[in-house]
Amino acid sequence: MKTKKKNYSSYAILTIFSLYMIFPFVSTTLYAMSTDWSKTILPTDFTFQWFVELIQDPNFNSAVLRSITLTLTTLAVVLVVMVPTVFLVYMYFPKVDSFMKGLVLMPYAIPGVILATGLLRMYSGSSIPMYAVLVGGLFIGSLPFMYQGVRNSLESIQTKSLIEAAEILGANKLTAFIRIILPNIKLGLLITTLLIFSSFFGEFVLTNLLIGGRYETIRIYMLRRMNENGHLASAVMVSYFILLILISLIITYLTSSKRKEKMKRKAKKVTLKNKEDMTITPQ
Amino acid sequence: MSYIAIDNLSLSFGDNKVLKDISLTIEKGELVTLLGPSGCGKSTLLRVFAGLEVFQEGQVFLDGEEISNVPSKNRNVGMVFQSYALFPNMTVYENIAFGLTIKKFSKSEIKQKVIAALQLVNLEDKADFYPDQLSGGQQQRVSLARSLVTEPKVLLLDEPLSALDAKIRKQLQIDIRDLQKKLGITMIFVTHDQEEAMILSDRVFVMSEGNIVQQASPAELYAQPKNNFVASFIGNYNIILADELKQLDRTFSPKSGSNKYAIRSETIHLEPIKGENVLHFQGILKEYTVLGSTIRCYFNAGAINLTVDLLNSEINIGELEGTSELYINKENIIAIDE
Repeated sequence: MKTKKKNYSSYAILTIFSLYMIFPFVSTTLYAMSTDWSKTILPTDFTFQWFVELIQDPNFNSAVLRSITLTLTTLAVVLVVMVPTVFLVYMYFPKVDSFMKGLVLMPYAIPGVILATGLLRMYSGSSIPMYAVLVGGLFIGSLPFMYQGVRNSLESIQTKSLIEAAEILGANKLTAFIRIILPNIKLGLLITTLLIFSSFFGEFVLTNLLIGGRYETIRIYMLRRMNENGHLASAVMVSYFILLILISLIITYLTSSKRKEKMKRKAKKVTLKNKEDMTITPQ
Repeated sequence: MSYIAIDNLSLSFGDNKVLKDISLTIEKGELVTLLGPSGCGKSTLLRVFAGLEVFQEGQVFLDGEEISNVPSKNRNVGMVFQSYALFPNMTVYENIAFGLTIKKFSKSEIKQKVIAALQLVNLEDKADFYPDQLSGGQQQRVSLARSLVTEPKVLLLDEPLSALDAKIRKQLQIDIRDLQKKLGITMIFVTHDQEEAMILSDRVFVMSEGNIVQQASPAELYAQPKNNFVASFIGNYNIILADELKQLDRTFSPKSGSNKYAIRSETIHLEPIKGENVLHFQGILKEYTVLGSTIRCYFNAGAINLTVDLLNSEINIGELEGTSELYINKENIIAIDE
């Protein structure tokens, strides 16, 4: 009888890759959980001291709060402006679409330092607050994710046919958009939003150059504390990394086929329960 | 005035003229089909009627009123799409109720109408299902119920059965025709399938390259195709020139002004036909295909290729090898336009 030959080289490559990815995280975690690690392979002691210190530091909490505020403000602006824009371009200005696709890739072509320098030259000394300029800068940075994310969501649900069907049934464009399109792209929007959230939450270049110490976000806080205490900086890094893992897990859960199956089973249960209500005779 | 009228309608997409000076009328309670190959403009014409395409010239009337500039949401027409276009975030019940909710019916009225619509399409037990939990045929039934529940003046169906497999398609053809007769609703059905058009329609509009080339009842269309295009699109017609027919039988005399003739494949016989008005010639069987109740035979008669449909029960195909005598009643040789 033939047995399936084990592919040891594939396992070896996979193991090396996993070690390469996990080793820095494990090392940082160990460093964040020790007070002394200099002459031994493993730390000589383990402690949660740095995590406790971090949580008790009002500056850390303020930095987290500032990062969240900045990220949510920017996200709100991005969603309010971009979702209707992408919808209008997709539905009614398809010729503009190819132009937009190229345009939204510009943030990849322009390095953050150049963007920040340009924004500083343009707006420093003007009446526009630098916080608003920063939100604007981050908005530009979100365009590649947002435009393509929303566009793909619209394409996947046959938006044109759905809008036409709703209009023929008597709905106006706004009603059709709110009641049909938005609920159907909300999962795609949520995933895009989470991706942008994780990217903005750790944004450093623009924030540091445009506002810097005046508005200390988590990444600027990390840089400052790194110079003071490496263990504490590692604890910040680990906390930040865990947050990103949580976001990834949420995205994986939202897009998992098991979850969809679960929802379908739930729908079927409701059907069986309501079957008795369906015996009304039409007049 | 007819219930539906389209007058001299033209539509272009850029330089491409998709509909060319189209005029047609449809009576109340009729089921008509727009039939033609892909790209002939049939779906565009339907979408014009639904208010989904803007046209440059012409007028559209429904129930005595001009609706050329009325937005689709105010036209009171229903539409069934090839892709179903059911709202994925809503259950079957909510999908059907959508139009009634927009028109601000009371909750009890909505419930009553939706349940009646569900019973009409035999989907009472699927009310709480989501569209992706239904088969293609069931989804199209929901789409039909959703369109009918608002009691539209006319129901437009844009190749609604094209995405379904043959068995379900045939069943839904019967269901749609039954529903149309039961409700007495006017329907415009778009299809590229001539058999579907024949089964469903009171009248068929055959379209080609943005024009209506012939409008007639299915029987008339089959018996009297107007031109080469209709003859080749509708059935298995043999298209033969006058000179070729003369070569087959010297007794054939062409009608004045007609150079092209269409002969249906089932009107060519192997047994002698009584009377004098008969074309008689010889043919050699080259190939045949068994289609079930009929056998399609391909004969060569001189330089002319002929398709002949014979009843399977009436012939023994083994006896046809070699040369056969072929007979056509001259009444079945139809003069057609170029």
